[in-house]
This record gives sequence, structure tokens and C-alpha cells, in this order.
Amino acid sequence: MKIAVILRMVPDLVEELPLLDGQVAWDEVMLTLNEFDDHALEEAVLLKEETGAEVVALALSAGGDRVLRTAIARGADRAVQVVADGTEGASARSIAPLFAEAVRAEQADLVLTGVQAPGDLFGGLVPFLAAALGWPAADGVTSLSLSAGRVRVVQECGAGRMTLLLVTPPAVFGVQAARQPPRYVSGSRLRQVARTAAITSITPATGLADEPARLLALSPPRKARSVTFVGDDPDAAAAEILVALRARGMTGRQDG
Amino acid sequence: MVDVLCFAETTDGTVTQASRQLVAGARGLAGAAGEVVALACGADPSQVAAWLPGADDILLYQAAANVPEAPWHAHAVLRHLVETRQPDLVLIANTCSGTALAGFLAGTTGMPLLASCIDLTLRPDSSITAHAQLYGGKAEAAVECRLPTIVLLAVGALPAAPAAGQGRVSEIAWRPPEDTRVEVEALTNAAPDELDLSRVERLVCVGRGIGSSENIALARDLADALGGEVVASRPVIDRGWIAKSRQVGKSGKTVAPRLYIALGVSGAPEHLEGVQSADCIVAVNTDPTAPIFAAADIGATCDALDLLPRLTASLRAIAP
Amino acid sequence: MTASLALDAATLTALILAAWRFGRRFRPLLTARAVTRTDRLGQRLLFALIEFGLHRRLLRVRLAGGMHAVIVLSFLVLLSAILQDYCKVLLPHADPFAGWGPWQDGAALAILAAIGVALVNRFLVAPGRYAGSNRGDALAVLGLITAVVVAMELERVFHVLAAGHGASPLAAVLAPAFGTVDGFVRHARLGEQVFYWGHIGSVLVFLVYLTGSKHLHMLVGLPAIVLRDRSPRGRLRDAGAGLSWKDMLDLHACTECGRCQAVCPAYAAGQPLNPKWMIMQLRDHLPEIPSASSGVQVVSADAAWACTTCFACMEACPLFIEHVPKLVDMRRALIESSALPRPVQATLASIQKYGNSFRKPPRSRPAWTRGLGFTIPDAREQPVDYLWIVGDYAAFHPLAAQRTRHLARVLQAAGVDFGILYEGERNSGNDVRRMGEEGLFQDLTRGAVATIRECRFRRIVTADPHTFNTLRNEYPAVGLQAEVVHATDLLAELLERGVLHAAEPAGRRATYHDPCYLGRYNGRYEAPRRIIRSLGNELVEMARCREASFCCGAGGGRIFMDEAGGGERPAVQRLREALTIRNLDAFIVACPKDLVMFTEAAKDIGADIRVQDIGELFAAP
Repeated sequence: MKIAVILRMVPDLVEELPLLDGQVAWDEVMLTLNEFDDHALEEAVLLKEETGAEVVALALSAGGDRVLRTAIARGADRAVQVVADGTEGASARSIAPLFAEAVRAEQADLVLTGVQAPGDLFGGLVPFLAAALGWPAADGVTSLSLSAGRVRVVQECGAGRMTLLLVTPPAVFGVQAARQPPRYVSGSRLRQVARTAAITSITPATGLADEPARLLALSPPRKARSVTFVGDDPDAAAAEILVALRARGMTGRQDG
Repeated sequence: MVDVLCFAETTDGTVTQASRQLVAGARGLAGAAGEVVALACGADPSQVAAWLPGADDILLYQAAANVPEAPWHAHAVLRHLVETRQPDLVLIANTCSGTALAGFLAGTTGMPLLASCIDLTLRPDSSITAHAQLYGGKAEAAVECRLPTIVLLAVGALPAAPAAGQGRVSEIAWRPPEDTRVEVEALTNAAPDELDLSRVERLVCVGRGIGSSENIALARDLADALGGEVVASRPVIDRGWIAKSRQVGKSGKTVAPRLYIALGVSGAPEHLEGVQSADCIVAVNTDPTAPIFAAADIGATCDALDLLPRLTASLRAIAP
Repeated sequence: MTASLALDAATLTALILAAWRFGRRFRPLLTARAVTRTDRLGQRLLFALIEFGLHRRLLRVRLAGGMHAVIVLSFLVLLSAILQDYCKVLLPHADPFAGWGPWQDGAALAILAAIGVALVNRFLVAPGRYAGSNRGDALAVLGLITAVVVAMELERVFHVLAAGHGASPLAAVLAPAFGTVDGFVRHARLGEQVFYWGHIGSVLVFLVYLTGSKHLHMLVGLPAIVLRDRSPRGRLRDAGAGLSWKDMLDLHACTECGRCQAVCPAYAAGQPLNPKWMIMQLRDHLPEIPSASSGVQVVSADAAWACTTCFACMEACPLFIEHVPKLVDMRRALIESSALPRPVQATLASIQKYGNSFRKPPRSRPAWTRGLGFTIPDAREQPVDYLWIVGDYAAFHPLAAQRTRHLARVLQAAGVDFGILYEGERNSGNDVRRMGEEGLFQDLTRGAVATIRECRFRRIVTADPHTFNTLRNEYPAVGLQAEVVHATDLLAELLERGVLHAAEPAGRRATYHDPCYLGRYNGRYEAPRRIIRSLGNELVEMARCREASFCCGAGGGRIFMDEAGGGERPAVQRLREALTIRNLDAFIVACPKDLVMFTEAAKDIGADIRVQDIGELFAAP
């Protein structure tokens, strides 16, 4: 069983998003591994530990190879850089064929990736990848297990409802959350991997798919309500909030 | 004049509020001349017309009696309708299952998809422009696209138009071919938590900033003092600190409280989508740039853990 | 003839048994990881003799220390009696220690009195530090010593009864009383032999017992002190697989005195760590610990994570046992196997990714400088006199950043030429190393040294004792060649030069909390005190001050971890200690983590006490 994990680098949301002329300032922005892809990697490694499957991490060359080294340090067996131009800010639909080709070249049985990425304005990767590969797919997956050659997945979608699916590979899954939070990789392990990791690359023959929708401009968010700040001192803040709640009749226990 | 196909999401036979609003909004887009068709899977046939007055045609799809409804059924039927009716616009509410549905539809039909839209404008040249939120609410995008297209709409993105009358309700006879590659083993609902959060007036929501599961007790104290309930955003649920049935947001429940106190919640759109409307939103977050403050009425930048005991104590003092 | 044969046989048997038991216990040391502890042997021996001779650490607890001194001295004197008994049978013509009778009697009485005190201490006084110690072992030892001494005196008494005279004045005094029993007189010779063998026998039993008891410290203690770690306290040892032979020696040297337990802040707060218990567990399960293992499986992971690395245990231990490095090694092992608590993981991930523990982008590190009214020079761009390495907490935590701004104003007003590294600074790595993440520590230090090397400055200054500690003690090994001072050193100098002024009126009553990493680790006690006094404050010391300072509980990465433990947090306990000082105006700290911990603790218990950073004592325009 070979599992391909697709890792995408996205702007780190820990700080303000740097914008330049209505687009993301790609030179300035701090990139980080998409949180859901991180979970996908963790779930893949957990599956590997349970079943001895092989895990291959895939990422676009635009993000650099640091994420691929980290993936190997986390437990992936191999990593492949998908080399292509013009992928910065490209939509999931347009990069899907690149990954589809890489996945086929790797002869993977399963593809795991995050259920969404923060910049997926025109749709997430899983459906487009599944369409490009012609494979069944499921989004919102929270745990996978292998059962007699088939994959059992728990799919969650809204308000605690869970669907248990049995899927015949090859298939694509969008991971919502791994069974356990992504594990820590120590600095020494990272350094060890940096010295020995062999990262291969593939330059897909197919190009980016056309994206029919167009991004006109990005701007900082509008504020629909105007907020009244009560400051950063807990005592003062508590007092002000209490006043505001009383004014709206929200104190005292509600009935029923 | 556009023909709109809407997906009306149902839960336990009832069409969701979000979908009802969606169809009402679609009426406004379609205008008097355009056609609004709504697909409702598994909806109660006797009530569905009343729920969706804006639709001209309401198509019901019921899965076969002993076949559990599979997630791809909706997709397959919707795709079939797209192919046979060729609508200009396919509108789907921006919920967890709606997003998945829209994505797969875009993948299989090749139609463009606009996600997370907070508004939508038709242009005379058969294209649309819209605004969408992305990057956790830290940016707003202006987008455009030619028709036909699929649009995922946030709740309240479209103004509701007055309904013309009741639409025709009919059952779809067409059955999708079974996909043997995917089999449904079980469908489970949330743990028997009888609480209907959509009816609770005061909610205290804990987000990642609450720090640890032990600190949630402080939030419970506050909720208790208010006579409300504790809910949580996705990161807290993912860590298993609170039962999934208390998740508010796109992949959780939608609530419409009078008071919503968000503690350590960043305010990403996926979460705020679950807060359909609230008379008063109080946000506490140590990050003054957190998007929650754009949605809040009152904001405090102190640590929620410092604020909670004080606020709870003052509330208890005036209403023991 | 038969007597000497019997004596030889008994002694030989005892020696063989003792050697065999000792060998079994010490066999793991033969294959243990090597460390060099034989450098500067002369200095080591001198230190050990002075430390032991003066009972320096032991006498910190006066009753127990004094009693121990008496026992040791008496024991040394009474060795002469044992030798005399051996000569009696093996070398009858030799008469060593001929006139020592009175001294031996004195020693015997003294030792019995000391044993009495020991029993009173253990049972009536019952100090908390004995909780968990092996009471049976302690009683057995006391009992055996009593047996040896009593047998010795009775031997002499019966000798007096048999021969009419003796070298022991005490025996002479006691003999008449024994003489009233006719049977004793008639069989005096036999009695003397019985108690002769009783004396020898007790000694031999003691020797064999010793090798399986905590009392082995009699043999192993002095070597343990000789072979102690002489490297700077603030320099943690490099990673190595498993317990070293010195680590194992520590385990056998432990006397279960519990002084480490008594000063441990984690233990005091009810957390799962007890340093004494940790050493005892490792000792008792040593054979089960695989050779390259840190021993964490014998001590729980929770215990390993509970340590604040405050060094109080190692300061208190009379045998210089090294508790902290063993715990850090356990953490290292846990991290390599990805078994770390969620908060530790989140903190390390934040430092790995953003270079700080606050999950803030590196760009925002200099945000505290906004609104200062002047621009601090960028030390990366221009030469400065003082390179100020600010530290994470002082830059990012709102409470601490406020004081950092104030310090900047104070230094500016005093005309100090200082600069900072702006976004070029990253977490110094002190706590990262103590959390067990050696790899990340190496990355941080190498990067920091590379950045610092590009700068031109005379001295490095920091207000953060943790940063100070690692810069001073650990960065030189990675190539830093610079003089590092703490802000209090600089402030004291400036105060002496008259360029600083007080912010508060004189006559306030203040106490000072010695930060672990400034005081106990680096011996800096005086500068802060000079500052406080010179500014006209009355400094009232807490009982646990200077090297006995009680940790606030933040060190070793604990500030990032969840609170555990049934007792009050260390910071709260420490504050209560300060509150016993009447009319206290200020609780003065010299560390940003102390500031945060104590400010929050004061709020938690509603204490009306002003927690002040030492920099705030100075005025800034």
C-alpha cells in the first residue's frame, strides 16, 4: 500500500497578510505548511506505523524543500518535489493535474491531503484531484484504517454526524483532523534527516489547468460592525462588559 | 435573467435555515423571469413547499428505502440536473457538506466554483462578480467569473426576495448508478446530547486561546452565571476538549443566540458562519488584529483567563 | 591459635561477602558511559577534605549536621578500638593506641548520645524530608552502631572484672556494678571473649550490611564529593546515551537525607517530582535499566517534566549528587521518542518555527520599542557599547515588555550607548536546552553566535537571567567570545557613577527574590542588594534567600506547561513567605519570568503586595 501525501505551503496566518497591489506579496509573506495537510501527513504516518504502508510526500517546488525534509523527519519514507512554474497563488483546480501526474508516476494507492487550504478561493484540491485521477474521494475524513484491502474512513460533516465509509482504493481523501495531533520532530532529528534525506523531483509534462474564475483584487477585510474596545486590563474590561450586558438586559438567568 | 439551481440541504427531513435563505435569495437573483429550481434530498414532501416559497420547481430526491443515503447521491443527482437543465447558476450554502458537494460538482462538471462568497452581483454580460473571504478572514477577495458557475454562499449573502407563490413539488425518478467503490457502513448522529443549541439564547464559546481543557471550567462558570451554554470552535473540538455536538461553525452547528461571548476565538469565517446572527457579540482575544473583532460589538484584548473569573463573579454578585 | 584462625576466617568471610555485594552493586559502573572527573585531582581532594572536614553543607541543618559530625569523629576514634581487638588476637605483642582508652570511652558515650539524638530526630521531630526514606535501613544502621559500641564497652568491663584493671576509665566505673552479679565475676574471662566476638562480629556484620545499605556512603561519599562536577553550574552537560558511571555512583552515595526533597519547589507544590525519590528509584532499579537508557522508565515522565531546573536540590545535597542533569537527560530521551506533553510540543514548535515561544512572527519582536520616543540603535548595523539581548518574555509578554520599555528609558537617560538585534534576535535557548531539545538548542545558539559575531560591541547585557545564564556559560562553547553582564550589574555600576536617580521615595521596606539563574546558578547576589539599599530602601531578607532562594516555578520550561499538583503553586508559596514580613512595600524581582509569575500569583491570592522589577526603582524622564 503506497500513500501519497500532498503538502501545500500557505501564508502563515499568525501575522497580517502582506498585500501588494491587490495580490499577496509573495516575496514578503511567511509560508507555513497548511494545517490540514499537516494532519494528513500525521494520519498517513499513523497508517504506516499500523500497516507498514509506504508514505511519499509531495510538494510544489515553489514552497522550497524544507517541508519535504520535515515530512521525512516526521516519518514519510520518501519525498518528491513537483517542479513547475507559475504555481505561486495558483488555484487548487489548476495545480491538480500536476499532482495527478505525480501520483500516477508514484503508483500510489491512496492520496491524502488536507480538506482545505486557507487560500482556496475557487475550490479545494481533493475534488479536482479526484476528477483528474478518476478516483473516488471523500472529504472531511478524520481517521483511516485498512481492512482487507479496502480503506475504512470516518467522515465527519457537521454537528457531530459521522459517516463510516468503506472505499476501494485507489482513492483520494481530504483529511480534516488526524487521530492525534501532529507529532513533534526534534531539532536533532531534523538535522539528521537534512543530511541523509534523498528528495527526488518530477517535472510533470502536463501544465497547469485553466482556472475559469478570476481573482480581481485582495484587500483587508471590511468591518461590518464597529467594535467598541474595552482595553486589556481584565478588571476594567470585566466592568465594562457587565455594564454593556446590563444595558441589553442580558444579565440574570434566562428562563427555560 | 438567470436560471438558478439551488441545493437545499436537509437534516432529518427538515430543510436548513441557511438553505431556506439561499433559495429566497436565489429568487431575487433570478428576477421574475428566471427560473429557480431547488433540489432537496430527503426532505419532508408535505412541508417543503412552505419552506421554499421562492422556488418555481422543488425537486425531491428520496433514497431507496433500505439504502442508506450516501454522500455522493446528492452530488450525482445535482450533476444530473446540471446536465439536463443547464442552469446558469448553481447555488449551495457554505456549510461543511455544502462545500464538499460544490467541490465535487466543480470537479466532475468542470464548472467554475466561487467559494466563501459574502455577496454576489450579476453583470449584464453573463458573468458575475462577488466578494469572498479567505485566509482565515484576514483578506477579502473580489472575484469574477463567467456563467455558468457554482457559487458557495455564506448565510445572509443574498437579500431575500419576496416569494411569488408556491412552487411545484415533484419527485425525481432518476436514480444514480451505484458506485461500488464507496460503501456506507454506518451513519451515526451526534452523541445523544438533547440540547438544541439553536434555541439557546446565551452562548459562551471557547477557542484555541483558552489554552487547555482545564480552563474550560472557567467558561462553564461564566455560562452558568449567564444561564447559557458552552460551545466551542473547531480547534477545541479537534483536541477533544469538548463534545463534538457543541461545535459552532461551518463543520459544526449554526446558532442564532442573543448573546455570544467568544473567548480566545480568532474569528475565522468558518467559525463565524456558524453564528448566524447574534444581537450582541463580545470577543476576548489577546491578538488585537484577530478577525473576531470585526464581527464583535465589544472587544477586550486581555487574557480570557484573567477576565473570566472577574466577569463571572460580578454577574453572580448581581444575580445569585 | 584457634582464635586467630576463627578471626581470620570470620574476617575473610565478611570481606568476601562484602566485596561480592559491593561488586554486584557496582558492576553496572564498569560498562557505563565514561566521563572525565579526574582532572585537577589535587584541587578536588582538597575541596572534598574541606567540605567534609568542616561539614559545610551538612551543618546547614544544625541538629542533624552536628549529630553527624559527632558520629563521624567518634567513629574515627573508635576505629582504634577495632584495630586493638584485631591485634589482641593476631599480634598479641603489639599494643597500638595504648593510651587511647579515655578517648575511646568519650567517643563511645558521644556516639550513643548522638544516636539518641538521631532517634529523637527521626521519631519525635520527624522532619518532612524523611518521608519516603528507608526507615528500616536507618534503624538497622543505628542499631548496628549501638551494638558495636556497647559490645566494645562490655568487653572492657568484663576485662576489668577478669584482670582487675583496664585501659578504659568508663569500664572501670561500670565494672563494680557488673561485679555485683556473681556469675559475671566467675565467668569474666568468658564474658570478655563473648563481647570481644560481639564487638568484632557486629563490626563484620556492619561491613557486610553496609554494602547493601544507604550507609555505603561511608565508603562512597567522599569519592562522590571528590568526583563532583566542577564545570560551571549554568553549563548543562552535552547529550550522551544513558547514565554515566558518575551518575551511578551518585545513586549509591545517596543517604536518603531528603534535603533535596525539602527544597524542591515542584515537590512543595504537590507535583509528581521528588528528587530524593528519583535517586532512590534509579538506585533500587539500576540493574533493570538498559545501558543506554536515561532511566526514565523507572521514574515517571510526569516527574521528569515537573522539574524547574532551579538547582536547589544540587545546592542542598551534601554529597554533590547531580539530580538536574539526570532529569534533563530523561527529557532528552522523551523528546527523541516524541513523547512530550502537548504544551511543551507547542512551545518548542513555536520556537522552531518563529524563533520565540509566543507564536508571534519574528517581525514583531521589536514591537515593544514603539512609543519609546527615541530609536534604539540596531546593533547589526552600527557599533554599540552594550549589545542588549532582550529575551522572549521581556519583549513579548505585555507585563514584562512594559518594564523593558522603562529600562530602555532609564539606560537612555543615563547616557548608555546600547543597541538591540531587532528581528535578528531569537530565543536564547536556555529553557529549550533544559526542556531537553538539544538539536533546537544547537540551531538557536549557532544562529545567535553568527548574528552576534557580525556586531561590534564591548559587552553584552541582558535583563533576563535565563538568557544571561546560557550566554555566559554555554555560548562560549559555540564560539561566543564576549563579556556578558546582567542588567543589575550595569545598573549598579551606573548608580555608583551617580548617573541614575531613584523613582520612589526613600524609606520603603522591600524584600528581594533571588532569581535561580542569577543567584544560585551564577553567584550574583550583591549587585541587586546594593541597588536596593543605595536607593534608600530597607532591605529585609526572606528566610530562603541567596542560594536558598525558593524558585518561582517558571524555569525548565515549566512556565509553558500546565499546572499540576495538589498544593499551592511555588510562586504563591513564595509570596506567602514574603507576606510574613510586616509592612512590606515591595517584592523586588530581577527576572521577567519572576515578574510574570509573582504578579499573577499576587492576583490569585488577592495579596496586597507590589511586585516590582528592579529597573522600576530607577527614574526615567
